[in-house]
Amino acid sequence: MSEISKNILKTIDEKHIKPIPKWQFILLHVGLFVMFGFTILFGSMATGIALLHLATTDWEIVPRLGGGMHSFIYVLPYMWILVLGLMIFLATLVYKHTNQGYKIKPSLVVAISIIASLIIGSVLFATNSAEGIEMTLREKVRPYAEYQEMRNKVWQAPDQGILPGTIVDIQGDSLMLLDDFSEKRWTINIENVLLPPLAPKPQIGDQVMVIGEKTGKDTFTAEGIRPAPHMLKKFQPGQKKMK
Amino acid sequence: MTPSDEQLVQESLKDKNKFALLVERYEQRLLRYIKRLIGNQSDLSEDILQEVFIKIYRNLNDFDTNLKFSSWAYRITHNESINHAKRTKDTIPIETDGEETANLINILESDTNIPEEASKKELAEKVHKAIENLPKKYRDVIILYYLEDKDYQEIGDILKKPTSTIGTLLSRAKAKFKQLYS
Repeated sequence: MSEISKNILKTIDEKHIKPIPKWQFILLHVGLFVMFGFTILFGSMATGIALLHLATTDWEIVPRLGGGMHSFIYVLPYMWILVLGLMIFLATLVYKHTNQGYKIKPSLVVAISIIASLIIGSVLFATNSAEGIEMTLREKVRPYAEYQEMRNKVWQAPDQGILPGTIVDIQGDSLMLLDDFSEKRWTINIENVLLPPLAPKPQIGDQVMVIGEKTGKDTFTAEGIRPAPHMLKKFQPGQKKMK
Repeated sequence: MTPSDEQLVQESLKDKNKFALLVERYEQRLLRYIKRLIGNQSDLSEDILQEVFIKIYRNLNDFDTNLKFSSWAYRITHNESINHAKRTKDTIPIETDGEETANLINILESDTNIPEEASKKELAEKVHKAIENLPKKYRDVIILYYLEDKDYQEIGDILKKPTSTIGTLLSRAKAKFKQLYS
């Protein structure tokens, strides 16, 4: 036996060094794959919610907000796009530390993560699961609800002819009372509103977006009434899911 | 019949004396590799070698049988040596003996079309200097490919990089070497 071998065995004996149990390595490797799975899952949720926001944004009225390109950029669900970016970064980082992780180029892991997030995210969006997740977040995570309310204020632009809120009363075919996001009550002239033939008539309690013109401090003349896009809908206590 | 490395790993888990056989099988190769990475500092190299084998022993259960044992052992050796160099912030001189240098010159000459205008001694000095001045990522592949005689797959497993990246790195390393040499 060589001197080095003797020294090594002596050190192993003296320091009571033992091989680390196999289960610890299995736990580590399984843990890494589970973390990778979670990053893809969270990335998919972010994609699903971003798709929900994009699909329900009323792009026709965005130019009315008056900010030019800024308005388009502002209404993008960039928080969710950032979350998706973060999850892709984490997925790449975690995968790199798996046993075989170094065999695949990081760019390929990024591409796989993006494709997986897009596919699963689209399924979540198409099955309305993304909407359920988003509403649960608003219900359970107060900072997220506050963030969303803050973002929604950009849509409250009566001077630009956009007035979202909840219908509190309808008086015949001519007047409607609406509470906006800041609980201000508006009297709205709806005489000239033309609803598409098959569109349901607005009902008390509906959350809508009124398009038209501000005529006074708290009066508005409506040209059109549209259902409020998903992100403008306010969560109401006791309400599990909004339609 | 001589047991394979993989068999010795399994036997070492049951009987630590069997680990001595693995140590004996690899000590010279790994010691030489350490010296190539950190320079010819005998005591230090042996200390690092001891740390390497202790680490190998502690992690025997993590040995992935999809790899060659030698690739795994080289990977641990590489990491320990580089960690040591980072801790001490030493500049890393390349360590080769005369015969290896001559081999290296011959191989690099044929691979990179070095003009044969100088004597072998001058050539050896210039080759040494050029390799020492190579960025670390290029030097690592040059050492493993030309001096340790590893193939792309093994180098990839040792440095934890995709095999295709090793091909690219090696071809860039040769180009950089040629540039530094001339």
